[in-house]
Amino acid sequence: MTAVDWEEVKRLAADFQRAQLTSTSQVLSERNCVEIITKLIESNLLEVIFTTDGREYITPQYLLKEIKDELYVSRGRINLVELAKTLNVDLSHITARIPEIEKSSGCSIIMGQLINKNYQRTIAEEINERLQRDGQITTADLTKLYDLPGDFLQSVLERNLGKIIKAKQDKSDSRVFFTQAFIEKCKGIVKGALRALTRPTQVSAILEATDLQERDFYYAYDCLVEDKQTFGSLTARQGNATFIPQMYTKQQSDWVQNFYKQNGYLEYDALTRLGISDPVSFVRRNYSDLLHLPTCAVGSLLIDQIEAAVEDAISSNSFVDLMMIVPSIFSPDDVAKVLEAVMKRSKGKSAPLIFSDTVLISEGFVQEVLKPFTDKGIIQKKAQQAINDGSYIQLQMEKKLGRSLGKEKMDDNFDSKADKKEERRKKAGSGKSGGGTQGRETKTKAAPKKKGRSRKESGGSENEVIDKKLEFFTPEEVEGELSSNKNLEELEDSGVLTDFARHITPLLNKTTYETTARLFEETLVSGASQRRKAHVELENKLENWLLELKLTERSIKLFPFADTQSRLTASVLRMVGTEVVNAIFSYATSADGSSPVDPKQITAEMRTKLLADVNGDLHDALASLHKTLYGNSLEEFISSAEAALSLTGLLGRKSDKKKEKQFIHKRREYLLSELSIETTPALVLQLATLTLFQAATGHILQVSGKFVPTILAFLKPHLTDEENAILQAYQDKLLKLLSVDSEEMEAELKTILSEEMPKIKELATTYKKMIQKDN
Amino acid sequence: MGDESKKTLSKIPLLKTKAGPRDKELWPQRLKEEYISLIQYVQNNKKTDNDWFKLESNKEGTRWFGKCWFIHNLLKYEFDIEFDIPVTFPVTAPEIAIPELDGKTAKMYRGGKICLSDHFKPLWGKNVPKFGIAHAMALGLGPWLAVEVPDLIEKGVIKYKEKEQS
Repeated sequence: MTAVDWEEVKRLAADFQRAQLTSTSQVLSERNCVEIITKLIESNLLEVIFTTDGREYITPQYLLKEIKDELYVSRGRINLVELAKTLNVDLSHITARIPEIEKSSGCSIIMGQLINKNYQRTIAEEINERLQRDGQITTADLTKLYDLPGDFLQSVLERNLGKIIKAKQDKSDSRVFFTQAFIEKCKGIVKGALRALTRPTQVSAILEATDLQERDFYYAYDCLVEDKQTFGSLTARQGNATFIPQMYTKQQSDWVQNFYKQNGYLEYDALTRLGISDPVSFVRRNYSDLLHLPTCAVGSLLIDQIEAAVEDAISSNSFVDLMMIVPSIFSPDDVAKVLEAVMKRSKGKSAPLIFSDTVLISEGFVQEVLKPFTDKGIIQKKAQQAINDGSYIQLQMEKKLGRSLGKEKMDDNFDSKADKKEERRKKAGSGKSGGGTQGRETKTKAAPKKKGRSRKESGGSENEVIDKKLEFFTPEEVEGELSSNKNLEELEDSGVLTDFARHITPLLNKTTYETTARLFEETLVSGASQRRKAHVELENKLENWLLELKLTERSIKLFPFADTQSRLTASVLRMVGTEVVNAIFSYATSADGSSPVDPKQITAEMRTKLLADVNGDLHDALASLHKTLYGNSLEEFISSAEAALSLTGLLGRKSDKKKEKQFIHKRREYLLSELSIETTPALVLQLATLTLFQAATGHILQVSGKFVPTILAFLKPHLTDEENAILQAYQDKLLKLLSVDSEEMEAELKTILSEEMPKIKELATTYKKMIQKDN
Repeated sequence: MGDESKKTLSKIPLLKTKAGPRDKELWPQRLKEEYISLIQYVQNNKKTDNDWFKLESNKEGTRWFGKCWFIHNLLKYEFDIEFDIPVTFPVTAPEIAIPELDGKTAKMYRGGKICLSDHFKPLWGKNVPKFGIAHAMALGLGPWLAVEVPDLIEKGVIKYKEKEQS
C-alpha cells in the first residue's frame, strides 16, 4: 500500500515537473495588451479611440459609422451628449468627428444636436400641416414646440417656403407665417369690423370684439390698405392706436366746416369735444387764413366785423366793448389778440385806448368824457384850490430846488421829496388861517417871476414828472365822478371804469395843471395892477401925511413955549410920523418882490429887523428916518422922510400953496363933519378945540386929547371971554367927570355935558364963521 | 489580500489529509494531495501567463528546492529558493528561504528565511489542514517578492544578471 502510494507520489512528482516544464502559454495578459497598445499609440503606429470605461478601443471609421447609424435610428436628430452615452465614447471624440459628418452627409449641429437634412424636411412638413390647420404660425411657437433655436427654424421655414410649406411670410414681421386662407379670413373680419365702426375706436377694443391678434389685425389692415378698403385711418401702429373711420372724419370736418361757415370762428374746445385731439394743428392744416388765438381760431369774416366795430367806435367818438361783439366763448386774451391784429391792420389811424384788453375807447370819447370836468368847473375849482392853498407854488419851488440839486439827485430823492412835499402841503392847507403862514407867503410870492421863465425851458418829460407830483385828482375821485355820468354806465358794466378812470386821471391832472398855471399867471397879472394902484394910493397918502406934518410944524411954531412945542412935536411924530415911516418901510422892503408887510403891524423891533434886509443907500435913508422918528424935530424928520421917499420912488409932486390950502380946507371940512356927528363929550371938546385953533390961526393941528388944555390956553387971546368961559366950564366938567366916583354924579355930569354939547359945537362952527367974517 | 490574489487562491485545490512527514501511513497521501495542488496551481499560473516559480522535492518530499522569479521593468530577476517541511506540518507552515538574499533585507530571518506578513500565520492556522505548499507559495512568497524585490532593486541591492538563466 505504502509502496503503491510512493509510486503514485513519484508519478505525481514527475507530472509536477512536466507541468512546470511545459512552456508557458503565450497568452498576453490584459495588462500586457494595454501596455502594447499604449506603446503603439505612443509611437503613432495605431489610431484608436478608447471607450469611456477604457476597456475597449474603436477606430474612428467605426465611430463614424456608429454615429451615422444612431442618427438614422433617431430619425435624423440626436443629442451629442446622448450619442456619447449610447456609443460609450467620450464626447470630445464625437465632437471631433462632427466636421467630417457634416461634410459627408450634410448634417448640421444645432445647440449640441446633430440634425440631418431628412429631419429638416420632416419638420418642414410638420410645420406645413400645422399651418394648414391653424392658419398662422410664428417661429417663436415653433421654437417652443421643437426646442430648436428660432434662427434655425426661420432658415428651415424660409428655405422650404413655397415648396413644402404653403404660406406667406408677414412683411412686417418675418417670423410670422400665414396661409392665404388665414389672411383672407382676417381680412374679412377686419373689413367687417372697420366698416361697421362710426366713431373713433381703440384698436384694442376692435381686437377684443373681433377676437383677433393685434399682429393679425395690423397685417390684415395693411392688406386692406393695399386694396384701398380701409374706410378710415389708424392714428398709430402702437398699442393704444385708434381707428378713425372715414365717415367719422368726414362728418367731423363737415361739422367744422359748417360751424366755421356759420360763425366765422373755430373754438379749440369745441373741436376737442368733437374728438380732434390737436385742434390747433387741425385748424392750421385745414384752414390757412385763420388768426390763431389762445382758445380759438378766427376767420376773416369775424375779424372784419370786429374791425368795423372798432372803426365805428373811433369814427363816432365812442367806445366799444369787444367782449359784447365777439362770440361768448372768446376769452379776454383772445379778444386782446384779435384787437392787436385789428389794430395792426388799421395802422396809421388814430390809436384808440384799450382797457382790460377788450374795451376800446376812442380818443374822441375820452375828450368827451373830459369835457364835463371842464364844463362843470371842477378843474377850475381844483386849480383855484391848488393856488389858494399854495400847493402849486410849493410845487414850483420844489421844481426849482430839484433842478438846482441836479437831476440824479432828484431821481434818487424823488420819493422822499414827494412825501415831504405832501406833508408840507397838508400842513400848509391846515395852517392857512394862522399867522404862521406869513413867512412862507413872503417866500412864495417871490418865486413866480423866475419860475415862469424856467418852466418854459424845462423839457416835456420833466413836466410830466412834475405833473405827476401834483395830484389834483385821485383815480377814485375820477371814478366817482365818472360813475355819475350816464354815458359811461355801459363802461361800468364792462368793469373797466376803474381802469378808465386811472387812465384819464393823469390827463385830468395835466389839464388841471395847465389850468392852474394859467390861473396863476392871471393872478399874477391882476396882482401887478393892484400893486400899481396901491402904489399911487400910498403915494397920495404919504404926500398928505407929509403935508400935514409940514403944516402941523408951522402950527406948533405958533406955541410960545419951547416945552409945549417939543411935546407937541413928539406927539405928532408918534401919531403921523410912525405911519409915514411904517408905510415907507413896508414899501421899501417889499420893493424887491416879497409881499408887503402890513404897515399897521410894524413895530419898532420889526423895523430894525426889516432894516437888516435892506442894503445900500436905502438902508442909510431908512436908518436915519427911523432915528429921526424918535427925534425932536419935525423938520429933520420930514427931510429924512423925503430923502427915503425919493430913494423908494414914492415922492411925487412938490407941495404947493394951493394944495396946502386945499388940504387945510379939506381938513376943516373933515373936522366939522366929525364934530357934527360926534357925541362923546371929550372928543367933542377936542374936535371943537382943534377947529377953533384952525379957525384962529389958519394952521392945522393934529394932536391927541391931552393937549386940549394947552391949546385952549393958547386960544384964549383969540376968543371972547364968554367963549373962553364956556369952553373952560365944559373942560372943567369933563375933568370932573374923569375924577368922580359916584355913579349918580357921573350920570348927572354926563347929562350936563351932553346938554352943553350943542353949545360947544355951535361955538366951534360959529367961531369959524366969525373968522371968515373977519377975513 | 487583493481581489486578484483571492481569485488565484480560490483556484488552488484544497487539501484534506492532515499528516506530517512522521506519519508514515498518511504522509504519502498528503504528499499526493500536495502535488495535485501544486500541479493545478502551476497549470493555472501558466494559463494566465503568470508562471513565477519552479519547484522539486527530494524523494520523501520533506525537502523542497527550486527557483522563483520576478519581472520588474521588463527585466526578470531570478532567485533560488529552498525549504524543509517541518515535522509539525501541516500545523506549522513551511519556512521558505532565499539564501542569496540573506542579510540584504530586514524582512528576513537568519538563513534567508523570509518574514511573512502578519496575516499569513493566522490565515494558515485557520485553514489547517486545507492549505498546503501551493498556498504557502501563493500567500507567502508571492506577496513578499512583490513588495521586497522592487524595493531591493531600487536600493541597488539586487542587480540584474544578464542571461543567467535561459
